Amino acid sequence: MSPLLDIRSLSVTFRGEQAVRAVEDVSFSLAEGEVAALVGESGCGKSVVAHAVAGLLPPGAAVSGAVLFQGRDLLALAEREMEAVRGAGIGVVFQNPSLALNPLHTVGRQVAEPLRVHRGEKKEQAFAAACRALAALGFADAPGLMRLYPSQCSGGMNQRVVTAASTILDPPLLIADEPTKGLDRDRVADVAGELGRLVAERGTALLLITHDIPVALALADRVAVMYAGEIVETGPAREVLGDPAHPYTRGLVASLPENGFVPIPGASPSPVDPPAGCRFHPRCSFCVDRCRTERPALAAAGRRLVRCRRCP
Amino acid sequence: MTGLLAKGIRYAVSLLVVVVLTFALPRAMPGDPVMNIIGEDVSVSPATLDAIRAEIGLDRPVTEQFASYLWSLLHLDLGYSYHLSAPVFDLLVARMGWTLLFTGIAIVVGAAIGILAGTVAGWRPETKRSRAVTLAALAVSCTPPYFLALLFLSFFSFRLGLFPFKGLYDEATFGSVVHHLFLPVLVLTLFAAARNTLIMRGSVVQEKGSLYALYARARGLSDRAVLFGHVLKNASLPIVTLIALDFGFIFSGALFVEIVFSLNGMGTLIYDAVLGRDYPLLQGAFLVIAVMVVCANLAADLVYLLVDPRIRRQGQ
Repeated sequence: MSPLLDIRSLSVTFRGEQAVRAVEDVSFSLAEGEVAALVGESGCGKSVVAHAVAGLLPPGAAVSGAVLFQGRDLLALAEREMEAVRGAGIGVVFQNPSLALNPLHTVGRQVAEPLRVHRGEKKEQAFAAACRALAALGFADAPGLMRLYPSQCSGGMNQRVVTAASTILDPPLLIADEPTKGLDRDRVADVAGELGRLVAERGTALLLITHDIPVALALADRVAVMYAGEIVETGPAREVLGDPAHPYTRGLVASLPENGFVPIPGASPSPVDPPAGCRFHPRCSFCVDRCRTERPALAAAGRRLVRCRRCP
Repeated sequence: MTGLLAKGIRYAVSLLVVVVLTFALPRAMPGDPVMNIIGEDVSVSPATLDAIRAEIGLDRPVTEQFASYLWSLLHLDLGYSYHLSAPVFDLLVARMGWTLLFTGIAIVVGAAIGILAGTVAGWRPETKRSRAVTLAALAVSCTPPYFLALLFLSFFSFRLGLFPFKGLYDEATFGSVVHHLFLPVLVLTLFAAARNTLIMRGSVVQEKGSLYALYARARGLSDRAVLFGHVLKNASLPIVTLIALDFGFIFSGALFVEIVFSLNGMGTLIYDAVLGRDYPLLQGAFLVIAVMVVCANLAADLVYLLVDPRIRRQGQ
C-alpha cells in the first residue's frame, strides 16, 4: 500500500540577498493513521518541511523534489487545486492559536469557514456543524462560544477552537506545527492529550513538528531528527529517542533536563554557509578527518536510517 | 465601563484645554488687547478704549472673565468681529458649510481610494503595478496641497480652459457649483488618497504576514478570500484614526487650496483674518476647528468600539 504522504528529496531554498538552503534532500513518509514527528532545534528546517507540504511557503521559496499526497504530487498542483487540498485533505494547527485566529471575526465564523469555502454550505448549516464540532471537543457551552471573539477566550480555548477548525472536514492528514511551544507543563499535557485523542478517535495521520522530545515520544510512532536542514536519524520513535545512534541525537537527548541538562557544545551552523562534509562535524566529539570533507549519506542501521560514518 | 469613562474624561480635558488656550491666547498677545480687537488702523480716543474695555469686561478679574467667556460659549457667542462688523459665530457658520462640503467629499472619497490603492500596493508589493502606485502616492503626499492646486489650476484652467479660475459658482445652480468645486475637491482628494494609500499599504503588508492570514490560507481559503475576507478589515483599522487626524490636517490644507481657487470658505476667512489681525474671528475659528478635531477623534473611538471586539472588551 502506498503511503498517505510521501516526501521525496525535498529541498527548499529561500532566495534573497543570500540564498538560504533551509531544507536539503529530505525524504520521509507517513502511512494512513500514522503519527510521526519531525524533531530538532529552532532553525533546523522542520517547520519549513511542514509548510512545504501544505503549500504555505512564501513566494520567494524555491522548492524541489516531490510531495506525494494520496498519490498526487502537491508541488505540481496549481494554486487553485492546492486550495482544495488545504483544509480538506491536509489540516494544519499552528503554535500560538490566539494569533492564528482573526481577532475581528467570531470563533464560530472561523470554525465554520472551511465548510463554507470547501463545500459551499449555507451559513446556518455550517454554523450548526461548527457548533457540533466544538461541543465534540468538550466545550459545554458551544453555542455561547460561537459568538465570542478570540480575545475573549483563553489560550487553551483558542487551541481547541483551532483544532476544531482544522479538523472539521476530517482531513486524512493533520500537521501540527510546534503545538506545544511556549506552553507550561500542564498545558503541554493538555494539548498532547488532545491531539492523541483526536488521532486515535478519527484515525487521522499526524505529522508533528516539535522541539519537545517528550511530546514526540508520547505521541509519535516514528520520528525523524533534523539538523541544519537535513534528516540525521530516522526510525521508530522509542528506538531513536530511547537509544540514539547519531551523535546529534545523542546530544539532543542528553540535553533534556531529566538526562542532566548537558548542552551540545557550539551553535547551529548558518544555513547560508553550512559546514563542508558532515554538517554536525564542528560540534561532534567523534569527528575524524573524513567527516570534515565527505558528506555522509543516510545509511540503514537495523530499523533506522542514520547519517553518520562513525555509527553503523 | 471604566474605559469609556476614562475616555470621556480625556476628551472633556482636551476640550477644556482648547477653551483655556483660546481664552488665554489673545490676552497673552503683546500690546493692548483692545487695540488688537478693534485693529491698529483706526484711531480712537482713550475714553472710547475704556468703554470698549468695560464692554468686553477686560477691567474685571481674570476668573470672572473666564466665567463669562464660558457663559457666552454656551450661548454660541464667540465674540464680535469689529473688522467685518458681524458676530464671529454667524461669520463662521456662513462659511463653514462650504469648507465642510468639499473637505468632507475629499476625506470620504480619498479614504475609499486610499484603501483600494493601498490594498493593491500592499498585497503584492513586489509587482510593477504596486511599485507604481506606491511611488505615485509618495509623490503626491510629499507635494504641498497648495502647490498641487497651483499646478492643476495652471494646467486644467489656464492651458486647457476646462474649469473656471475662481469662486464657488457663477449662478447658484448645482452644475455650476460642481464645475467650480471639481478641481479643489480633486486636489484635496488626491492628497487624502495618497496619505491613506501609504498607511493602508504598510498595514496590508503587515497584516498579510500575520499568522491568522496564513492560518486562513491553511484552511483552504483562496488568496482573494484571505485578502477580502480577513486582511482587508483588519488592515483598514488604522485608516479610521487617519481620517480623524486628517480632519484637522485636510482642514488646514483646505485653507491654502481655498486661497488658490479663491473659494469663500473658512480658509479664506481665516486667511483674511490673519492678514487683517482680526483676533476675535481667529480665536473663534481656532476654537471651532479644535472642537471639530476633538469630535472627529471621539467619532473614531466610537467607530473602533463598533468594529474591533478587542477594544469593545476593554471598554466593558
